[in-house]
Amino acid sequence: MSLQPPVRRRSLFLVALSDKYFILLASIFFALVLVGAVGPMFVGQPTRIVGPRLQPPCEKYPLGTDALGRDVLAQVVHGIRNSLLVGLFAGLIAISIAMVLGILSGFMRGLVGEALATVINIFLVIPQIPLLLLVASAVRIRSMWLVATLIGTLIAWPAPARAIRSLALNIREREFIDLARISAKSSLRIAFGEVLPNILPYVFLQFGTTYASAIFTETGISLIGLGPTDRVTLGWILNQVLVMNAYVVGAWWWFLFPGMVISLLVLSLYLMPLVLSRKLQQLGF
Amino acid sequence: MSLSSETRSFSYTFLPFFKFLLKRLGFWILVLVVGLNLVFFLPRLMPVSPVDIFLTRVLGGVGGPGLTMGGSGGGAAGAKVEEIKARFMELFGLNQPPAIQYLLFWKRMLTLDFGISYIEYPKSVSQVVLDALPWTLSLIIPALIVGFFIGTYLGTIAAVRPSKLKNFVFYTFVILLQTPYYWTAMIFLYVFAVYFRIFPIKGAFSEKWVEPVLSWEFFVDVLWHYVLPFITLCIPTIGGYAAGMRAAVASETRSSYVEFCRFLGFSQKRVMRYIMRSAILPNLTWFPLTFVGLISQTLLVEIVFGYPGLGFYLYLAAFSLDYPLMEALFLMIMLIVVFGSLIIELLYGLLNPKIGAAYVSE
Repeated sequence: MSLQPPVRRRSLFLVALSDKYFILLASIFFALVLVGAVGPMFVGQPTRIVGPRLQPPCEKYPLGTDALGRDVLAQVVHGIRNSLLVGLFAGLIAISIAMVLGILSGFMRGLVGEALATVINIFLVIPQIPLLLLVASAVRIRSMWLVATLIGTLIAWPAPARAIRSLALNIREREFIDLARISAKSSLRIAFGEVLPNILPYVFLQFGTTYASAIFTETGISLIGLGPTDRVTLGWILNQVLVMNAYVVGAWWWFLFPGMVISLLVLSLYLMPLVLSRKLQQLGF
Repeated sequence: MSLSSETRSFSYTFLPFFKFLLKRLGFWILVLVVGLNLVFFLPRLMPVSPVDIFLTRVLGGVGGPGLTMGGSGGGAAGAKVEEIKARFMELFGLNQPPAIQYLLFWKRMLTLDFGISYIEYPKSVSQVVLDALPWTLSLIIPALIVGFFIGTYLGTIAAVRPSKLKNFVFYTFVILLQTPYYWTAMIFLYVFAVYFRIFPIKGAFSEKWVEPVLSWEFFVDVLWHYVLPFITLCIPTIGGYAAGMRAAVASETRSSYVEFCRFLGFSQKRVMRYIMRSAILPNLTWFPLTFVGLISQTLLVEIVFGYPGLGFYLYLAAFSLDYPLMEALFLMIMLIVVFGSLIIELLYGLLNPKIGAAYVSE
């Protein structure tokens, strides 16, 4: 991928708005964000028992009730909010780590760069779910933020770090970097003063993917029952489905909608940067 | 003369390969060491000790119903809790200074002696892990191979001669790639095991067999239980390879050498062969990464299907806080990752030493 002069934020915005697939994906995502932001005001407590058990979708409970008589709609709405929050927090931590390590490992020559690259590659191949499972099970009461921190610091950063590293490797060979070197700037100042601004739009694109993978991981770890213990997330609903054997009793509404919401969230977050970068490539940025 | 040229060609083709092999071996040993160290240190950095959690769970809270039912008074109960706690600390080796604990941890890892399992009581931890291993491997390896071939094929035909149907299949798989596979598993279970009752709902074989036996009937039964988890795992693998292959073929088709070959009047078939040869490279380099991802996926899918592999036992161990079993399972998962990836790298290092060299220089 060639790195032409940095895409200015304004033009990035305009490019984004001129792509119909991007508009579609963005509206799916922001509709879900909206539901997560204002929805909890309109639905009841997700863990309160409100109605009959295993009620299929009806007028009063649009998504039905679960095996304890809790409103699935309330769970999904709260779940969207909390999954988005956990993913956002974990994604921000991960992208910060990825940015620092990726730029340094790509920009530094010699032993330091090699060592940092090896660290990234090692964390890339350590199996994530088992590691997270092991750590999370050592804590009995897990707040949402603890889980997000664990995902951010252990799981979600190596993949974006590798992508950012390859961009930094590319930009290291450019003339203006040589110019900066000749003017006796320190390497760290070049790395974060010259390299970083040039790849910032790509870091931004990478954030979408990282956000999606953080949500995906949180759902996976919650499915096993090792996610946050203080909040309802989308993964927690699937955990309840698994624990109470919803599919055995035929309660399709209980797991169909939460899973669809997760897919839509992850799909829109994952595809938005993809569509955008393809558009940018077509326009020759 | 001919001998010297032969040794020279040997050293040209195989010396880089051995260098490559050594480098990869070093890397994977480092992965193993870092991973196992994380397993030792991370839980100990957490605010609560696993022993406390275990005790609360076993006793139902300090001074809770679990103890008062024993008929002893409050003071005596407190003393008893301390005694039980001390026993557990000893069992886990937690009464030792941290340095000794660390050495004991590595001793367990190297001797593979993790003691007796709490979950499957009379069995040793190592036995539980070894019994679970074949089930997990029999899911991972075929899913990886089938996913690779179908995915690569699908990606290629979608890139070379797109049609409505091919694009539909391709995009369906790409969307399914972003769908939580454990959710797909639940839907499969609901549709095929509960609604239509074609496939069994859980386990790797019917309950009439207490343990695996060698018979045709058992084999058929195992296959019958195998179908749903296998398909669930294949879907994201196919999607991943298809997406990667399509992008690679598309970007190769645009490159200048293809244009040049066309100018030279090469047949479409011949040009395609050149394109395929370089487009398949990224898919091959991703092999170890897909493999690692697939292991995490397998663990979750096993839990949903109640398939008695490593993931299922990891789930049980996490809940009964069977730390030795968790350590042993993690060690085994790390070993699968390391050896699996090494074998994959070795294979394509052998197939083409240049690929190996390219892999390292990447």
